[in-house]
Amino acid sequence: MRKSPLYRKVALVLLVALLTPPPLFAVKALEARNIAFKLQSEAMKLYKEGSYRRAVELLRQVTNLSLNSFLAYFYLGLSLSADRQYVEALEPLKIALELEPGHIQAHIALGDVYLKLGDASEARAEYLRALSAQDSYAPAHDGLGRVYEAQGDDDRAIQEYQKALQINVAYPDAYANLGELYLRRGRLDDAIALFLKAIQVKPDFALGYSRLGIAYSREGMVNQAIAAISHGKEIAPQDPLPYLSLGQIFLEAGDLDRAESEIEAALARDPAEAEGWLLRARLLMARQDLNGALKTLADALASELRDPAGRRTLEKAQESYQTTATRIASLTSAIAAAPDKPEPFLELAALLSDAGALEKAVEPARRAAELSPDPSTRLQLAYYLLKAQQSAEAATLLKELAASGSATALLNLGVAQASLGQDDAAAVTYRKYLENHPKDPLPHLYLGNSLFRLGREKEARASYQSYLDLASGDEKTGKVRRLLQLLDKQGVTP
Amino acid sequence: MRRVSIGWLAAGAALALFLHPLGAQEVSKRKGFEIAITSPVSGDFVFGRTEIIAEVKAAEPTLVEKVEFYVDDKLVFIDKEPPYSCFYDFGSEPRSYVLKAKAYHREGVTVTATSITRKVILNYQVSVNRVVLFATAQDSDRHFVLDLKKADFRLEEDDKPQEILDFYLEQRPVVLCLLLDSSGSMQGRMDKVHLAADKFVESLAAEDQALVIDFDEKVFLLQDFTRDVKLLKEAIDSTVAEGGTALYDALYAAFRKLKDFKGRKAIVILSDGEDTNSKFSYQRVLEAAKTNEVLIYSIGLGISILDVSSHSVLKELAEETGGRSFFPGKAEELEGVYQQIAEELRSQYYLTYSPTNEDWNGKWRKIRLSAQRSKDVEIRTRKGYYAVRRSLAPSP
Repeated sequence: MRKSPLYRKVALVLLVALLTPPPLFAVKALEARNIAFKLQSEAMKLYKEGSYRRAVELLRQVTNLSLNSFLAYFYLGLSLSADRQYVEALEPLKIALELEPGHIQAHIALGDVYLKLGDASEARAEYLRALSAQDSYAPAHDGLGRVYEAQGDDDRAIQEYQKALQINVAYPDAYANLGELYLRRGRLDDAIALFLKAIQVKPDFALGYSRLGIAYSREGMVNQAIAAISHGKEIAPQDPLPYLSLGQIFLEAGDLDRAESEIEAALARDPAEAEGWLLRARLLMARQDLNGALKTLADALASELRDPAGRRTLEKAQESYQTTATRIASLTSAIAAAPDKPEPFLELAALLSDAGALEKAVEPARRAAELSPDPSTRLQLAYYLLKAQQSAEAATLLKELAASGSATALLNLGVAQASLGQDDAAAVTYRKYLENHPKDPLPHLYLGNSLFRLGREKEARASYQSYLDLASGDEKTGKVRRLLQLLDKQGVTP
Repeated sequence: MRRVSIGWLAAGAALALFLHPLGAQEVSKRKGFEIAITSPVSGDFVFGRTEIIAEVKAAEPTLVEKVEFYVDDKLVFIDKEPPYSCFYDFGSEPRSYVLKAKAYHREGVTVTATSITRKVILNYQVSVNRVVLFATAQDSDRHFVLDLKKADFRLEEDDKPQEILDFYLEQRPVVLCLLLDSSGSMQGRMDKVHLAADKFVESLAAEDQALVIDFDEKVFLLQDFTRDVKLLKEAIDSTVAEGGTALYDALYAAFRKLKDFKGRKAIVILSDGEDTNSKFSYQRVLEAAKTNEVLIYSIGLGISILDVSSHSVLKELAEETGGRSFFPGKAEELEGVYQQIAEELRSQYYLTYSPTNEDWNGKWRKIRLSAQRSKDVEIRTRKGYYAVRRSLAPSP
């Protein structure tokens, strides 16, 4: 069919509009209506496909043309927010709400933007406005939960997340947020249960898998953690979060090469992701490269980071690393001025160890022990050797110190022996330590681990039970409790 | 490639422990016992020391024990006697506050009302302690009076005399929005509208900038700010009459477009009837007019004094801002009206003053500017301003 000249004219204008910035030329009244409609439809489609920047470009053109279109302003706000342009997202969302004052999702979106910008008061007001429009709206309670969490009021946050879940038992975000809160508070079992529930109600919830992986890794269930996060990767291959989660796990496990690969993959997917830059800096610190870490943070802060919370985290890290650098410089000067004093060497060792430079911490500790070979200094050297996984030398030193009556050295000797694979010797050492310190919970756990590895499951079970009887609830107790349940299932009884 | 097993998902723990029953819900009405915050209501904006008023209804009012007032969850007052109210200083930044009033009945029942105030940003030049005014003087024959001196004016703020500091006849360019109603009721008159508006833009000074907004039930920017008269005329001439009228949406859009400009700003709006389609309310537009330093010139084509609502809306908006309203009966008169507006924009005084009241409490202050000696000279300027000193980011 032959198209009319008017159609061709409109199509041509639309094509021009799609390819160029907002028109500075006069638009004819009828063309304006046609162009705005087409651009808006295209932009909403792009938003739903996750092409936020392109959606923003088109929606800016629409809102520069159609000045009272709620949908154009609403989707512009959503797209900007999704693209982490939070400051820019405020205005269109406010205009959208002026155009549709009772629009609940717009209130939630504006609340989310305020929260990202650190303005908890305005965020709370927006969530409450949503609730005044509809008093049982799960995302509003979920938002309030995040507000109270940001304000440090965990109890109130938990109440709001629970309200959200009562209203909508299939609301994955509230499960994930509550799980995140519990994860932060060390309630790993509860966190895991919530993340699992989030995944159950939304099987393609990539974030749920990543957070579940982190919770598993905190439980020491590294294989399960990797499996969960890998599944998250399959669901959302372009999402940097699973890569970051794996990077964090490998970093904490000391597997720096694999950590690097994951962190770089995350940054390749989203260079504006602050967490990626932070992990890269931590990785460099773990590789004893303080200058590299500082440069990474400086580069990140000079880049197009839009998330204010992420920016603040990086600034804090930069401040902390700079303090470390300054302190190292000052201690180095003190050592140069008085090379015979052991104290600056020990202080330097502590500083390097805290900063993650474990191997570098050993050298000043060794020098301190040479200068002052008293038991206390040698014990500190042994500690840094253990942390740097130089267990054989640590064990030799600790044996000497334990022989002279140091209980701390005796316990650490057990740890060193276990890390050398000498679980038989370690078990003997732990038992010797426990003769004089039976109420100390951790040696029971360590003993249980050595016995478990030796296949002496009944004895291990008894040790774990002693640990649970003595320890107050923490991350480790959950893990041990589950291990005991497993042993029970296998019919292992003391 | 090795597939990752997700068998561990089946190991989900029981979740019942997380879902506790909800606590007692806060309600505003229970068993004939009722509370409402009557001032400020949700959506109001508040500055400075402001009274919070709660209205409590009970079958037996003497059984109302007390009303607690909270601002952002902080208890600020307990009132045990009706009328239930308290004063609270909200400072000079009008942000969102969550106000709560909780009434206690002696039989143990409580009811709670909530009001959420609105964040608003003012956009006028009250910085460095200076208030800026644009004023027009006309004699009894409606001629512009252009030879007045500073001493010829009497300026009062809240009935207290103020000293005029800067004063001169404004020569600087104006930035203006030309708003054209193209609703269906304008059919048959658009040719004359085009002609009159074209002549208006032709009469603008070379440095003046203007844009063209076309509105029916939708609001479209046909031409963004430009000094190019040809482009402005092209946009004007393309308007076609059809659809409803979203007058307030168009005005609000114009405020938004003007927000980033400094100096003299004006909106010239032509409409022939009542707003039928706006999403913005009149109150919101009036508020925008009071919080933005923009002169509004309104032209109500065919609107008589008997069209009470439309007439008063256009008149009030113009008067609040120091502009002027016109109500020509026929489209043929439009050309003359537009020319009067153009002339007025070239005949204004710029003046500033430093208010004697230095309490920047965010309250509305009335401005009155009049001729010192001659009663035959009428002076127009904006009606007042909110006393906020800080130079704030623009809005709306």
